[in-house]
Amino acid sequence: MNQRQAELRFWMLEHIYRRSKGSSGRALSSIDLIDGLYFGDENGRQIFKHDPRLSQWEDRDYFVLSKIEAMPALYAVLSKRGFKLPDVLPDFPNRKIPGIDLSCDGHADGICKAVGVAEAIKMERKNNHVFCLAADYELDNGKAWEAIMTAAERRLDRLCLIVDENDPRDEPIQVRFEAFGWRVIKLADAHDFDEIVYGYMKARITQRKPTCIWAPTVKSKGVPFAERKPEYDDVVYSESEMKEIRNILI
Amino acid sequence: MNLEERLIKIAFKMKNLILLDFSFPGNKFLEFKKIYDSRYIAIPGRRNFAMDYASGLTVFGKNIVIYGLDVFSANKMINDCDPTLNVKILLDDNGATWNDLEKKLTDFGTMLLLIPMED
Repeated sequence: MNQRQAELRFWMLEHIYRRSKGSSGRALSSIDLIDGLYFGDENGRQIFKHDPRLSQWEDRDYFVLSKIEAMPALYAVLSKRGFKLPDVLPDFPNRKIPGIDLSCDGHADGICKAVGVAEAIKMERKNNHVFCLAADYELDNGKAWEAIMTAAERRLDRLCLIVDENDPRDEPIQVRFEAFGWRVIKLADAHDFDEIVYGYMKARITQRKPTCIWAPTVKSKGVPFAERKPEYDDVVYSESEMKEIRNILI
Repeated sequence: MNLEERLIKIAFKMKNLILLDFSFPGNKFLEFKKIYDSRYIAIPGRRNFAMDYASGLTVFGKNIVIYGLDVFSANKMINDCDPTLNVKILLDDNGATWNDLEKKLTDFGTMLLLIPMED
């Protein structure tokens, strides 16, 4: 974990602590994936094109957060990146917040909307890309698979779906993506910045099919006393735990 | 004038009009597809993701017409939809003349989702 990733974690956990609401463990599993997207670059060129001073920049790429529990992680990254966030932040992605392009308020909403955005990009023959972060449990929704099938049929190569698999299952779901005609990039370590950025780079250059980045993550990653412990998945850390986390991260 | 003829006429004037056909088995707008192939998307039988998919399509200011949802699911979806989006259900077209379709499409600006019910 580098210094920035540690700072982002602390910002996010403080945000959850102040609000007394949130799923710390689930948000910690996704934060490195969002960090890699916003801070990753290739020879000085952004992997995810965006400009904090111009949040409605026409040539920007779109990020759709389907995994609602990772909302504090996105706020942490947007804040660190220089987006001017208001004092009161909503629990769900809301397009009124700078840096957020689409509002989502239900499971798998974001996946469906990301497919719509990719379709619009294809129609307009634009050069933007759409990245969507989804949780593995969202794939239990039927409409997620309707969207996945449609993306493959319509050959939406500007779409990259990142699946945060923080709860490994016996059945390899990524095989189904391949069966539908997606390109699947499986990350070996979904908390390693370089590997995440390399995955995004490969996704950007994929042609004629959408890409799924399969990211096996660890819940509560970066907080040693909570890692891989299900009882810490949806908690807000106590004051004493926050002090301990401060000593670990800062 | 039936719905397809009316839409062909409107699409000629309204360059950002997209027709999403979720009816099953589809093939209801063959003439429209022939004329505006890139603006017609048929996705038969995938109604659950219709509204979210259409919301995504509106990011570049498209006017979306969704066809093929029944009124019950349309009403349910309209409640779940992004509250910042202009959404309208076309409940009654006064004798299937579709005279007010163009007015309804232009009244709300670019972020409109219109949902004619299944006949």
